[in-house]
Amino acid sequence: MNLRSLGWYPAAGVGVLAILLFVFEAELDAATASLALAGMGLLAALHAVYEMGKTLATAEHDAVFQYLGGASAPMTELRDQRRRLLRAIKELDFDHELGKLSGSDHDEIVTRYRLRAIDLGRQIDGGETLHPELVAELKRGAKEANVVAETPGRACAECGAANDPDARFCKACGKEMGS
Amino acid sequence: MSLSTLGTLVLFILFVVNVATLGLSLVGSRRQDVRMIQGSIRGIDAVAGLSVFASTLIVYAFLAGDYSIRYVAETSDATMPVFYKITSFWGSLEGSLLFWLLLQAVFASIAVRANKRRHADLIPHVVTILAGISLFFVTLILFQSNPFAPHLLETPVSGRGLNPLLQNPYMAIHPPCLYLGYVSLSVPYAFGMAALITGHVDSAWQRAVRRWTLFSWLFLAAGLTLGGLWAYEELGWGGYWAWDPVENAGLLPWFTSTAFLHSIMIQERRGMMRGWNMSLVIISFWLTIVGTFLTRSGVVQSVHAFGANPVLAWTFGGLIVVILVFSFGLLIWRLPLLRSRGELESVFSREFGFLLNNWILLSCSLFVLGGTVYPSISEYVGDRVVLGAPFFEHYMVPLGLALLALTGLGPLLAWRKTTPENLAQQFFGPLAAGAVGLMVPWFLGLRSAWGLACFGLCAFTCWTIVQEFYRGIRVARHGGRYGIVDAAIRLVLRARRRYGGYVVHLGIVLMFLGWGGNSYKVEKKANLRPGDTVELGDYMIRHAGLRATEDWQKEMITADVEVLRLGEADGEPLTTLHPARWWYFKLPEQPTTEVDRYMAVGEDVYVSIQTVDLGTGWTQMSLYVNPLVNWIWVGTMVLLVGGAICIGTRKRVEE
Repeated sequence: MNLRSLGWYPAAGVGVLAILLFVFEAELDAATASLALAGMGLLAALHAVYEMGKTLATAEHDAVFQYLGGASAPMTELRDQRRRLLRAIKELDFDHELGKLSGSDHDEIVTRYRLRAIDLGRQIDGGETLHPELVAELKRGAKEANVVAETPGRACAECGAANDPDARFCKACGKEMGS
Repeated sequence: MSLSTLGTLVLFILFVVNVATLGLSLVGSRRQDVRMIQGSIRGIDAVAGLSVFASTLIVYAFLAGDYSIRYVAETSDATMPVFYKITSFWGSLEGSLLFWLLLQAVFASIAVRANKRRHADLIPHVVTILAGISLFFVTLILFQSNPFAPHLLETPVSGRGLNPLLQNPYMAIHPPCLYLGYVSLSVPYAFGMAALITGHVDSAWQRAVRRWTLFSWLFLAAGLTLGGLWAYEELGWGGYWAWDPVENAGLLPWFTSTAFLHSIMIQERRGMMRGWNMSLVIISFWLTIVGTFLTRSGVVQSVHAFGANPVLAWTFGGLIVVILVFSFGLLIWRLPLLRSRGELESVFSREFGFLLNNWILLSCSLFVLGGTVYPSISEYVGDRVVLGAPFFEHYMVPLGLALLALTGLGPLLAWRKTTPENLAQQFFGPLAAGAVGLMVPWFLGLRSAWGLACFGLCAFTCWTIVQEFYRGIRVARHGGRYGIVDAAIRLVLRARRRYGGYVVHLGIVLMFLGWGGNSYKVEKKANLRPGDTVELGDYMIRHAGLRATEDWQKEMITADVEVLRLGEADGEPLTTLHPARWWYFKLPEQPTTEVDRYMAVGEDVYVSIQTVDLGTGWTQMSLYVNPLVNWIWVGTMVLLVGGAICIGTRKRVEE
C-alpha cells in the first residue's frame, strides 16, 4: 500500500455512495454518507491485509532496506560530531555578529572547535589522529589567525558582501576576489 | 449479520493481525529475516486500515441510530444534531479507547512509512514497540470495553443521549487535539527504545523524533487551551483552569516534552545530555499513559473522569509499571553508550539556561503529578485530603514566573559563553522595559506582588524577543542591502527553529499576560429581579428580563442582561448578554450553564445564571470581570504559528 494508491479510497467511497443513491435509491443523509465512508474503510482494511499477506508470500525483497546494518554506527557517530562542531562554529559566528560574544572569546572557542573538527575529519578519513607536530603548527597558525580575525573580512568589490580574508571567490556573487 | 457482530468480528481480526505483526517484527529482527520485517511493516498498515474500518463502522452506527449497540444507546439519541452524533464516538470510555487506537495505528503507520528508508536499522524495533502499544489497546477494547457490545436483553427505541456538558463545539475538537498530542508521543518513545535496543544512540533517532515531539507538543498545547476555553464557557464559574486531575493529566506530558524540545538542542549542538533526553522521552510517554489511567480508572475524582472501573485500573496500572521497568531497564543497560561527550563552557551560557529550564519544567511536572495523585494516596492510607486550586497556585505561580524569567534570559545568553560586558549590554534594554512593565500597573493601582512580577517579567521577556529580532534583522540586512521585510524573511528562513522558537515565546508571554490579569479580577454574586442593577468594576449590570423556551432536546431559561459603563446608567447599553440555563429532557437533573460574555481587548464581562425563580423573577447571577483573559487564547494562536514555523517543511536533501 503506497501513498498513491490511497487516493483510490475516496474515489471508491464516492462510487459506493453513487451506487447507494442511484441503484438502491437511498436518500442522501448523514447515515448513507457514513456508510459510504465505512465502505472506504473496508476497502482500505482489505487492501492492507492483502498487502501484508502478499509480502509474506513473496520471496524477493527490496534490497534498498538495510534493516540489519549497523556496522557503520561508529562512523555515523563521528560524522555527527563533526557536523555538530561545524554548526556550532556557524552559530558562534552568528552570536558574535549579534554582539553577544566578545571577539577574543569567539576566536578562542572557534579555534578549539576547528582543531577538533579537523581531528575528527582525519579519523573519519583514515582512522588516524593528527600528528602532534601538526597540532602544534596549527595552534601557532591559529594564534596568528587570531590577529587576522580581529580585522573585519574583506568586502567584495562587486556586491559588497563580507568575505573571509583569504577568500578567492565571493560567497554571495561568485566573482573572483582580487588578492 | 448485525452491525454489532460485524464490528466485534473486525476487532477480532484486528487483534489477530496485531499479534501477527508483533510476532513477525520480534522474530524477524532476531532472525534478521527481511521478509518477516517487511511483513510486519505491512502489518502496521493493516492494523491502521482495520482500525479505520472499525471506527467508520461505529460512526455509521451512531448516524444510523443502531441502538441495539449498547455504547450507541448510552451516548447518543435520535434528537441530537448530526455533529454531536459524530462526536459521541469519543464521548465515553469504550469509544474513546477505539478512537485512541485509531489515532495510534494511523500515526504508527505514517511514522514507519516516513522513516523506513532513512532509519532502516531502527525500523524493526520501532514496529515492535508500536505494535506492542496498539496490542494493549486492542486487547483492552476487545475483551474489556467493546464499543460494539450489544444489549443482552431488549433493544431500546432511543438512546440516553450524550452528556449535555459535552454537547459543545469545543468538546468536538478538544479531545481529538489532546489525543493527537498523547498518541503521537508514542512515536518518539518507539524510536528512543529502538535506538536503545540497537545501541545506535547517536543523533539519528533524534532527527527522526524532533518533529514528532514538536507536533505532539503543539497539539497538547492546543488541546489544553481548548479545554480551558470549554471550561470557561460551559462550566460558568468564571475561570478556565481548576487543576482538576484530568486537566493536569494533559499538562504533565506537555511539561516534559517542552523540556525535551529544549534539551534536545543541547544534544544536537554539543552531544551532551543523551541519557537525560532519553529519560525525558520515556517519561513523556509514560505520563500520557498515566494520564489515561487517571482519566479512565476512577482512581481520581474529577468532573470529567469516565467513572470507576477496577479492571481498567489494574490493567493500566500494570502497563504503567511495565513501561517504567522495561524502558529504564534498557536505559541503564545502555548507559555506557549514552555518556556525554562535551562539557559546559561557562555558567553564563545558554546551555546552562536550558539546564535550569529543564529542571524547573520537570519539577513542575512531578509536582503536579504528586498533587494529582496525593488525594487518592491519602484516601488509601487514611482520610482523603483534597488539594484544591489554591494549593497548586501557591507553588505553580512562582515556578511559572521563574520559567517566564528564563524565557527572557535564555535568548540573551550566547551559546557556550557570555562575558560580563556583553551581559550589561544585552540586559539594559530588557531590564528597563521590565521596570516600566512593573511601574505602570503599580501606578494604575495594582498591588498584588505576583501580578506585578508577572507584568514586569512579561515586559522584560517581550523586549528581549523584540531585541533579538531587531539585532538579527540588522545583521541580516548586510548594511542596508536588503529591505526590512526581506531581511526578516531571510533571517527566519536561515534560522527557522531559532526564530520560530522566539515566536512561540511571544505566545507564552501573551498567555502569561492573561494569567497575570487574574490578579485583579472582580467577582460578585448577586440576586436580581428584572429591572435591578448592580455595580461590577467599571460596569453597571442591569437585569432586563427572563425568557423560557424549548426545542426538541431541552428546556431553556434565558436572561437578558444589559452591560453599561459605570456612571452612564441612562445611556445606551454596551451590549445585551444572554446567559441561560438548559435542562435536557434526557437528563433533567443535570442542567447546564450557558455563559455569555462581553469581550473587549482589555477584559471580559462574564455572566452566568444559577437558580431562577420564574414566578417572581429572582435570578441568582455570578458576575465576573476577567481582565486580559482573551490574551490567553491569542497567545495560544501565536504559539501555534511559532510552532508551525519550527516544524516547517522537510529539506529534500538526503544525507
